[in-house]
Amino acid sequence: MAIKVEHELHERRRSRNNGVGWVLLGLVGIVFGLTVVKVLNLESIVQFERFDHVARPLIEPGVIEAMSDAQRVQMDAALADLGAVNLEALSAEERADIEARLIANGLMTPDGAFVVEAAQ
Amino acid sequence: MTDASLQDGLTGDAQFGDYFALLKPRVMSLVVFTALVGLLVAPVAQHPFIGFVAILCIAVGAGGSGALNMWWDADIDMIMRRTAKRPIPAGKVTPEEALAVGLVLSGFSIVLLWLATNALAAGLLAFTIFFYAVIYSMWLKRATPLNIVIGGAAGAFPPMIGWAAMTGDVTVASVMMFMLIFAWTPPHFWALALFVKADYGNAGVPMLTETHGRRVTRNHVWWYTIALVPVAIGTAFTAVGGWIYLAVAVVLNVRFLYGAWLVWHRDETQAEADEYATEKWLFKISLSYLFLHFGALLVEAALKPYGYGGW
Repeated sequence: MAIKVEHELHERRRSRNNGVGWVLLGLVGIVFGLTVVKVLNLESIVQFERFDHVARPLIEPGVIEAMSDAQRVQMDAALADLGAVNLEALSAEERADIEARLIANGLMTPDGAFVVEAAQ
Repeated sequence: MTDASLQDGLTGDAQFGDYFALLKPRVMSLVVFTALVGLLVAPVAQHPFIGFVAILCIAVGAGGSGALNMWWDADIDMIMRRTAKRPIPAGKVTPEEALAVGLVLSGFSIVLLWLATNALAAGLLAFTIFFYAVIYSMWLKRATPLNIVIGGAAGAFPPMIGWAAMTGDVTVASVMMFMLIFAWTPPHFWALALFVKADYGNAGVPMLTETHGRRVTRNHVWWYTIALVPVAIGTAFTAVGGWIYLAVAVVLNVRFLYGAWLVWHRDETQAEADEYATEKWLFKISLSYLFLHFGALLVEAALKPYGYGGW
């Protein structure tokens, strides 16, 4: 018994079915291509991943407030070296920027080790 | 009941090409060319794939609005010889299918353009589709002989959308590219209307040649050409212009003015005597007129990296 069952409707609509199939394939290709291009066009994928996928103690609520006085002095000194003041008034983005500068100055490891150590 | 009986009024199953014909492929080619120029002359370069998707979206959006136009105008397309072979009057596609194709393609092209580029470009595309399908097709086309003057704006938006897709803004340069097509459309179309014996009247579509006569149409060709010239020349002094464009524009506009002046000074007796040779010539040069203006803008942009394009 033949596995393939062909109805005359299949023949009649072959052109439009094939056309719609190709159009849908094209749409998938375009969305995939756009995704690749958009992701590759991000300025620094490392920075982007670091922001999303590692511990960010400085932007977690309560971390700063929970610091001991000694830890606070250490943090203030680090901030003073960088020319920054009044940590509480900083926005999340500004704190992230401070973090980046702390890392750049060797005062924090990329995974946030400096602050974690100070806060504990 | 067989499925064949459900096809009453249709001549058979629509093929893919019939749906494609709903998108007005010939109109789409002008849209693609002008949008591509708007995109390439923009001072901000995006990834080529983004540019490709932007052009595709603009073309598909234009096609979607074409399908909506065919859905709305199916009744008059059936009456006019020029349009009687379109998919709906030919009985290949139902009006409901054309409406569905138009809405789906319009929606997809707008959303995809937004995702690929920015909200401004997508908004301009949405407005263009609305303008062509609603303001032109549903409102102006059957209401006023100046329908193609205002409706021409729909065809003028593509370079502005291409520019916005790259830069995210609207500037004097992109507005001038819009104005160039907008001002070019009336004399181009009326030159055609003078020598093509269309049956718009039977379909109840007011065209200038039929509502106000050929003398008035000839006057309009001249005066609208006068309005076109400063726009075409003025574009030379925007961010996309330069010496090359200016030189090309001057030559083309002198030629176009001469043709319009000849058409203006002729009467029907003279036109019939030489089978509308001058009107046909004006229409022919109006096609190359637009192509060469945009081509010159492209040359300016291509030479800029080598220190030659622009001012």
